[in-house]
Formats: sequence, structure tokens, C-alpha cells
Amino acid sequence: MTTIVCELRDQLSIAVANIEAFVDGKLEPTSRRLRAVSEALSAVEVLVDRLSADGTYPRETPDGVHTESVGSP
Amino acid sequence: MQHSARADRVLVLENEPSLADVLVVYLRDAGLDVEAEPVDRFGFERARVEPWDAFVLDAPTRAGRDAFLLLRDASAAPIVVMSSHLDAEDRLAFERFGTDECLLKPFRPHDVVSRLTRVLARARRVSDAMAGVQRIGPLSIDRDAREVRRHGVALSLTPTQFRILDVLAGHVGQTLTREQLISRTSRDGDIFDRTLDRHIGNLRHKVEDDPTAPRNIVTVPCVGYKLVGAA
Repeated sequence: MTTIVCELRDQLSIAVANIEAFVDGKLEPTSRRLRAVSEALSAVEVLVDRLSADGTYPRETPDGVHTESVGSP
Repeated sequence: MQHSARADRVLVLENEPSLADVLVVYLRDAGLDVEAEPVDRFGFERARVEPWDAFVLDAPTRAGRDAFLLLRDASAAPIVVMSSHLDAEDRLAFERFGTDECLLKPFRPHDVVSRLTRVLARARRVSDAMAGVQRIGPLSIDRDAREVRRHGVALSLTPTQFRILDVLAGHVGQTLTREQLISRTSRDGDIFDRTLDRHIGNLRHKVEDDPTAPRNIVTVPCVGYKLVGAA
């Protein structure tokens, strides 16, 4: 769990810092940088799926309804 | 910071190139002289052999503590740690190792700039205190060297001008009466009431951005003068 949270924080920091730099006009959103953001968010998606599969977080259906709630403390 | 004679040198140790790019551009825009290297033995070697004023270290997990210790061994300069794992135990460990600031990921680039600016200012205050340098706004006074700098550039002051500034700097923000200034700066009666204003005027030409609208050596009407730390 701790490892997944760390990995989530690492990937989010890449996405957040780059997007902030685009918004502030500090860096151009080149295809290389956009790819870095996209890969970071894809990694976040995989990590969130792993959390769901572990039963750490409740699953949600596409319409937002919880189907189970087996979260660990 | 843009006025200092030499920009502070900062080494960013970061393995993710896109994150390193972001940090470098924000820190450069803050007036710092910034380089980036991966967190590897080449980065640590560069940290060891070159002069740095501070480091930003990506210490992603608990293994980051080892990276921190390697960097601490390489240089005594302050370290800002960015980590994805900062529980109470981590913070305690980093504090024990002597880190200066810890940032939990994800962070905003501005957070890194403000933490680093704080760390550098703190380090400069310590270094100035050890060197006996006093900073007042754009001025720095090194009494041992009898040297005054404005925005980092050395000024050529006469002995009388230095004495007047030295006395005013000993009471920053306090008004000194004309009599107090004369009695504390005059040697063998070389400063008279009528010459004090001329000395102050000449001093202002050297220390003020605009001597006609002084912001550092301020006249207190009918009383005297005071030195204030206006930027």
C-alpha cells in the first residue's frame, strides 16, 4: 500500500509540475513533454487499478455507484 | 537576488528528465544559477568537486535516505529534499541527517522555489554573521574589511562617510540626532553641524538609487537621520 502511494505521488508530481509549467508559460507543451505527462497519468491509472484489485479502495461502477466497500484501514 | 554579484549555484539531482526541466526553468527564472544531474554517482561526484550553494534532491522512497547521506558526505551545502514518502519517521530521519527542507510529492514548482529561497537566505545569514557582514536593504557592511557594497558592488567611501554609515548601521531604524551623529563620528572635531549635511549628501550619492529621494538614509526633520533597510 505504502509503495503504491509513493509511486502515485512520484507519477503525479511529474504530471502536476509539467502542467503547472505549461500554464505558467515557463515551458512549451512539446510532444516530448506531453508524452511524459501522458505516461505519468497512464501509470497513475495502472496504480489506481492495482489499488482497486487489492480491495484497498471500494470499486465504483461507471455511473459512480459503489459496488463494494472493502477498504483496509 | 538579481542584484547580487554572483547568483547562487544550485544543483538539482533528479532522475526524471521532464521534472528536472521544470525545476531548472523555475529556479533559473528566480535568478539562480542552476544545473541538473541524475541521482547517480556522476551527480554526486559533481556535487563533491564543484562549489554549490544548495542542492535539490529527489529522494523518492526510503532508499532516498541513502542518496541524502551520499550527498551530505559530498558537500556541506544545504539540501532541499523532495520525497514521495515522508511520514513522521522519515522527517525525523532527515532532520537527524541535517536536511534543511522536505517537500512531499506532488508539489508545485513554486513550492520548490520558495523553499530553496528560504534555505539560501538562511545560509547567507549564517555566513554573513560568521564573516561579520551586516545587510541593510541593498547595502552590506563588512566592518573588518571596512568595505561597503551596494547590490554586491563595492563602494568607495571616504573614512568619514564610512564612520557615519557605520554609526547609522549600528542603530538601523532608529533616529539619531545630529548631535549624536557628530559626537559619535567626529574625530578631532572634523565634523561640524554645518558639514554633517554635506557628508550625508555625498554618502547618499553613493548608497542611494536616487539621492534626491533617499530611501535608505532618511532625514527626520528637525531631529536628524536614520538608516532603514528599504530594498
